[in-house]
Amino acid sequence: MSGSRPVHTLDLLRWPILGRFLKWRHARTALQVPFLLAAALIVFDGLVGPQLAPKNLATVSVWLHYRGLVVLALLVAGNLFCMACPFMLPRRIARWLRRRLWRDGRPVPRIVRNKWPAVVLLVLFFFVYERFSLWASPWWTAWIVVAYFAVAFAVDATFRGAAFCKHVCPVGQFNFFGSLISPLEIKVRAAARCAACRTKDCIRGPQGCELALFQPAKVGNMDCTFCLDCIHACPYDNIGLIGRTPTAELWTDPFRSGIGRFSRRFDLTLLVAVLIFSSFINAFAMIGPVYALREQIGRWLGGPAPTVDLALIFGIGLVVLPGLLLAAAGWATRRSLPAPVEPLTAVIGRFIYALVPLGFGMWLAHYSFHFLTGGLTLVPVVQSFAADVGLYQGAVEWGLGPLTPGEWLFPIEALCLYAGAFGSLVAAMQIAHRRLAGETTPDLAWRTVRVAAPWLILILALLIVGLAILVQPMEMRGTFQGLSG
Amino acid sequence: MVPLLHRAARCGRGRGHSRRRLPPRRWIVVLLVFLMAGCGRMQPTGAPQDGFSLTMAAQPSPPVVGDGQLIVTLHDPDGRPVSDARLQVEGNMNHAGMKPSFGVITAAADGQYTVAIRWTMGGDWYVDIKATLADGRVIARRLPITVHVR
Ligand code: SF4
Ligand code: SF4
Ligand SMILES: [Cu+2]
Repeated sequence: MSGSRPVHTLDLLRWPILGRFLKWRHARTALQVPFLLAAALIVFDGLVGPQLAPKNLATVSVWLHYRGLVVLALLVAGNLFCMACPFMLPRRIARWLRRRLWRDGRPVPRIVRNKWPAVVLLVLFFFVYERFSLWASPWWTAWIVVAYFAVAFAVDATFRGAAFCKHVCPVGQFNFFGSLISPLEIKVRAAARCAACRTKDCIRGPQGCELALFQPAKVGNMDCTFCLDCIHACPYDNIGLIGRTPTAELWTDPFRSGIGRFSRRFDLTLLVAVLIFSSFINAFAMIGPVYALREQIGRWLGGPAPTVDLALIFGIGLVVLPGLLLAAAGWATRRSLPAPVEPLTAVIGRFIYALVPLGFGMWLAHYSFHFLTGGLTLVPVVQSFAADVGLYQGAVEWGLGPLTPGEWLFPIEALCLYAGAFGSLVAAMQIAHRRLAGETTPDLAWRTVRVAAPWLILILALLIVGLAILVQPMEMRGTFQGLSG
Repeated sequence: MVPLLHRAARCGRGRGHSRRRLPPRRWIVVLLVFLMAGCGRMQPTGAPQDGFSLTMAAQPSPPVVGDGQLIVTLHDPDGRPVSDARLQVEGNMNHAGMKPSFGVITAAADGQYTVAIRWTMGGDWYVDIKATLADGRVIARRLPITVHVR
């Protein structure tokens, strides 16, 4: 039997200690509980602690550590945050209530059984984040955490399945997006075992995947929360946490269980587009030129209009420009495709995945910057917190701050972006190559380049834009509107 | 418990929420966290009622990233300059991730204190100034300032 089993060189569930831990029935809970405690501390300090972002546990741990570590985990492993997600703990009560009182609740209404709610929430969040400088407010940061718990609870107490994770949670969508480039995947070990399986517990069983991912037909990391349910569900121990070529899942467009084909999911195309282009907007919003631009827009409008000028920047940077760029690249690629040629939205829906590594690289660069400049500020913040609640008597080391010398920051950021761009160039070529599969012209290599060319150009252009943003010194403003005018 | 909660309502506010009353759900959260840790973490930062005037001006103005100076001026409620206060000056950025910059007093005369301070990054800063008077009273202010990138 073991002879028919493909030997996965890397399967974390087969590792001695880690594997045993992850296969333990309460592994996820054990990971969630510390995060739940951290969330409680964040809410506490955010609401009643010092209202100064660099000195409050809420702002420091959410905007520096959580974001920095999330992208790092996605880069070196996978969707580890969802695996340890504390929002899912109270949700268990919600699920219990739903099953008890609601006869398992309602199915998610058809019109929102997609990524639209998440797209709307993500854009709204990014906008509110900049407009009201959420990063500067411990109080608002705490409320975001509370709101997360409340909404996750309400959604999952009402609807069947993992409605919140799959359709609503903006953090989850970011993680799904990032995990497309991750080196690990929850995956069946031996396809033959599944073919012979009659019970299909991984989807039908009481612990079957709530995100509707049926293991034998599951492809890649999209929508997978690394919750480990399927691992416990499979009676044949046929599911692993398996290594793979990072970004390779972007190259193909098979039918994916619980998702369908990427290129036929316009909502998913939009979600990915938002996450790619907002990586640039989000970084652009914290450098000097954005303030000059906003002031200029204010002058055109005849006076400061912080909501309108930001809405204009978002409208242009997140809707108009991406729309035009993607349409132009898709149109140009479409012209060089052999018949039968798919509709423009399908071409964009196929090739946009080539931009994922670059978009992720930009998030990685930006969040690493914050994490590396201020990672150690958590130490004095925790010390002062402990001192305030009477648990620490020593000196508070306010002198601690950066994790790396300042001169390293730009090279590290640039490296993240270059690596992303490289992954994107490879993905664009791979997608083009696969689209031309079966063509037998002698100049196939050249034709592949021609099909991919618009995307290669777009990737290089975005790389330059990204570098131009990262090379600027950081200059976060925008919190004094109510103070000094 | 109720007086404690009232204190929470006063200390636990965010910027710009000074006069808002707590909605019911927040009471629950505040109540819960109180049971956990007590009131030691709170920082009252309401509008000062001490009558003193404590202002600052940057040199150069506007301040730019690098070594800079603050001229802090302190007057008592009768408008007389106070020159013998012990000043503590601490600058913090408005976002997480930067360590505080502590000011060094280099001169004091006629109620004017010259403070050397290093602006480590462009953007919005809050300068916390604490003046301890000869009689032990403490005058404290948090003043915003925007530091420009050269
Ligand atoms: S329960 Fe296990 S063996 Fe059966 S289909 Fe699912 S993964 Fe395969
Ligand atoms: S496939 Fe489904 S059950 Fe398995 S880890 Fe992913 S989300 Fe959880
Ligand atoms: Cu930033």
